Amino acid sequence: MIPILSTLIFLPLLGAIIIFCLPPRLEKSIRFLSLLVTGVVLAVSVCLVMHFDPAVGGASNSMQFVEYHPWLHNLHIWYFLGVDGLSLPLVFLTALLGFLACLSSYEIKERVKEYFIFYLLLMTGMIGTFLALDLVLFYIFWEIVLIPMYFLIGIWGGPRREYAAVKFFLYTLAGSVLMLLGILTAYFLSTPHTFNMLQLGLSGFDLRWQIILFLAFFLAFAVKVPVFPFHTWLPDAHVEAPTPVSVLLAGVLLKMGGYGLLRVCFPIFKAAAFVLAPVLAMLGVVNIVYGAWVAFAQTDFKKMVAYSSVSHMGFVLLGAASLTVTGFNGALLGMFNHGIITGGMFLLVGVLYTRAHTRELNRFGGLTNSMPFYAFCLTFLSLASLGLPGLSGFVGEFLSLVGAFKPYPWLVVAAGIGLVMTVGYFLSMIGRVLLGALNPKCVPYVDMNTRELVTIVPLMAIVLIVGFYPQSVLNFQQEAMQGLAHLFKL
Amino acid sequence: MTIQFLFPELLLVFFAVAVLFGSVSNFFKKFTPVVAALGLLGALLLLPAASQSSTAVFFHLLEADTISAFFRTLILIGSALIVFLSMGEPQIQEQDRGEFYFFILTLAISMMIAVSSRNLLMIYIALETVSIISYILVGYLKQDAFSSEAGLKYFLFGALSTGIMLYGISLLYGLFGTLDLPTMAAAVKQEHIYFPIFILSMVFVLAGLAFKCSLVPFHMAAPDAYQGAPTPISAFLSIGPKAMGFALLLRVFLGTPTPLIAKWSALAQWLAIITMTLGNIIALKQTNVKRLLAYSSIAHAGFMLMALAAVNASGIKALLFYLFIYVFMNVGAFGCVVLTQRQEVAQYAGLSRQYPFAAFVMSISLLSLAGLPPLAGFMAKFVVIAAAIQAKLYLLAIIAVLNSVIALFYYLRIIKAMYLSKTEIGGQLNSTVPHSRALILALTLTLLVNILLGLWPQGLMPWLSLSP
Repeated sequence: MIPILSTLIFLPLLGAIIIFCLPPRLEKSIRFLSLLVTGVVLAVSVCLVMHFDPAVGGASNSMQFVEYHPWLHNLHIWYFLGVDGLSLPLVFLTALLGFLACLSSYEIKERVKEYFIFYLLLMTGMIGTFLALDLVLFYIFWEIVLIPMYFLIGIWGGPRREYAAVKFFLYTLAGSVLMLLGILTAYFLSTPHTFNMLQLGLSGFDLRWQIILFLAFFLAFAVKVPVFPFHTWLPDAHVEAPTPVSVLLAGVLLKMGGYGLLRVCFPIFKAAAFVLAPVLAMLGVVNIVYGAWVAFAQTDFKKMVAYSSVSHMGFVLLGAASLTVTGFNGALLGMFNHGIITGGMFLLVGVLYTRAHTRELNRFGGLTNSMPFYAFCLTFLSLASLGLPGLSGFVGEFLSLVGAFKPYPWLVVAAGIGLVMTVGYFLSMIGRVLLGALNPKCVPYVDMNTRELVTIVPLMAIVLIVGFYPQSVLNFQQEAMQGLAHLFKL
Repeated sequence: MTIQFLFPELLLVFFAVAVLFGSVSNFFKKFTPVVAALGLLGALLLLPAASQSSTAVFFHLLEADTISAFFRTLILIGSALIVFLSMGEPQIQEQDRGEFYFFILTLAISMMIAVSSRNLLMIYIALETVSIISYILVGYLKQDAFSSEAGLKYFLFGALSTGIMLYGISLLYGLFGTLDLPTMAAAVKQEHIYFPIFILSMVFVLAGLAFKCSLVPFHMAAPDAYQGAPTPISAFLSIGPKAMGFALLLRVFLGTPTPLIAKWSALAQWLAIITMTLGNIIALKQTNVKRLLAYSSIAHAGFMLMALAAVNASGIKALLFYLFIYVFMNVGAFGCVVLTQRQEVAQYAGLSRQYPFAAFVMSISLLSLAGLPPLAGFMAKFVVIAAAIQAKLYLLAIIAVLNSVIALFYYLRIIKAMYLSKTEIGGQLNSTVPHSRALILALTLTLLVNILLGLWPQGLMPWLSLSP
């Protein structure tokens, strides 16, 4: 029996080590090797999805493919991996975007060897975060993500890359060190002392401690999601990061925050979740409206998509805060969809940037004629992102809103304002970039080439499939979400 | 036979004398560093056998327990690394080499005696020997005004603080009629000791040890000394006397009985908070790498003190682990300064392309110092913070983790220069020094420890645990 989860985590690490040993001039082999590794990771994750049994569920023992070995047993730290309906979509998302973004990394021309080392390390950290079930292991993977991300933004980013990289690193670290305290405090408060996430869910802490610990963890996750007012690192990081890194940043890293909320905060600190859920819902709505509002004002294409992420993650937060099955389903599906759609959007921004070397929305106009494929992709993903029924974005947001309607009707109404604004800024963007006469400031660019199409078409296919047949994803997550919601039944 | 306990020290004395006499001849002079390294290695091999004796040896002046065994090992390993570092330092190679390595060996001997002492007089004597040798080593570059100034400053501050300590010891002798620590501890429990004077004299003793650990407010000489001293000596000061200082804090303060423990914990907690915060905040503004590392080592002293403030078994184990890792992190960082001969942060611009190995070792050491997983520095921080939380010192723990964020900021400045900066500062890499291969070896060793002990700390330290 091959430990499939460990394979997923450590294959990229192995690739990174092999590339580390290669001489830097073998750029072609390095690119090919990274593509191969991420491709195999994707294949393994598909295998994982095929062999995953969606019917296995229940309150606490829904983990599959469990790997449970003592690691530092005097410190009670276990090498404990497992996958359930909560982590499966996100693992698949990571593997898919990891592969596609690797394909799109062909635009990276300088310091190729170092780039792919950091890239593959990042993959290891991201997949590990979604699979770890021991809090210390989780924390370690969580932090491993920071270092390669820092370098990826800082070396291959735009003009203000150093500032953006440091800001990203310090923000996320400041959030996560409190999580470390939370982990240790939870360990010493639980009987018997344990770092095991599933066992911690069973040991009841008193309410005061639950709230303190919930907040300690929440801060770490809030910075990653990002929840207003901790979002200010995101636009900087997105704008400066190279395209493939933006894809992973928006597609996967933001999900780590939402995942942590659903994996750690809610099940382990149930009582605190009850008390704090209205606050989370309010923060979610602030995210939705504020993100959309600010996105409206952007003239930088990437910054606009970045703020639209803030807005979309607000739906995730709102859905999760509803503490209902529908809301949880909406939150998780919303994260999956957002990863696919926004990942695609960043790829498209990158396509334009490689041609025009600018992202100023006002510099474009009337690109439809010269780039029909591009126009189609951009329109398609924009419509998906603004929540057109029939495309995937709609399903997640709809479920979130339905779930949240019963506990917080007025907040859902307020979120509706955000939805309208989302339609507004996406349509205005399409108008500015694609429609009208050709802008005299820009030349007719060449349409997307095969490699660019290959990176974007799978994402669009998934958008369409999930949009028409949401059960394709919901089936997998249903049991886990029901288990989670079961904890909050009075 | 209690003499067996001192075999490693005696071997080192033999080698030290050999180094001193060998340096007279121009032919043998070349081999002095190798001889010194061999001596340290031999002593390391003798150590396990030497530790198997009764608890109190040498007329009850020395203690043969696990703490002394651990710290003697640590000092030997640290000294060996410093010898390797010195072999790559051209400033030292140009000077008269023999006496330099003689001083390193004698410093190692006196520190080893200090960490095994259980009598305050013995502690004082060993401490003074360490001090005097460190003054000489800091000012070793006689032609360099900076080095001499650093030596003088270090001497003035050091003399003051050991003077205070001696006064404290004399008061303690007046109170107890003995300087044997276990006897004193028993006396505090049974007899009526005039408490205010006892506390006062213990604070005086703390002053002397705080200077060695570079705890605030006795840290002031450290940055000047580290910056002015030859780089391997800066590295030595940041690991050797500091480890010794903590070993003695452990013996003197945690060996004493309960009435003092509560007060000690409160005092240590605030000292730790002030030390780590001040060290980190001042480090933010530094442009000289050695000075930056000096302030970072002050901040780390605060972290280590946190483990002692916890006053529990986890804390003591955490302190030992932290010190062990700290030796390798700091030697790695200082070693890269030796290798590149660059002292200003700005000079590190573009190092990752000029000398990837140096940049890589430096980054790993710095990230480990910052406490990022999966490096060893993270595990060290993890167990120390765990000990503090176990002792319910929540405020201290919160301030400590916030400090580690501040610390990351200035460590990142160096990494940023090495990897992110596009400008390159031309500079000759130090590859002409004949023994720099030893330096590379030491750096590789620190690299391995920083990575492997982060992933598998129990491989070397099976006793590391979180149990009460």
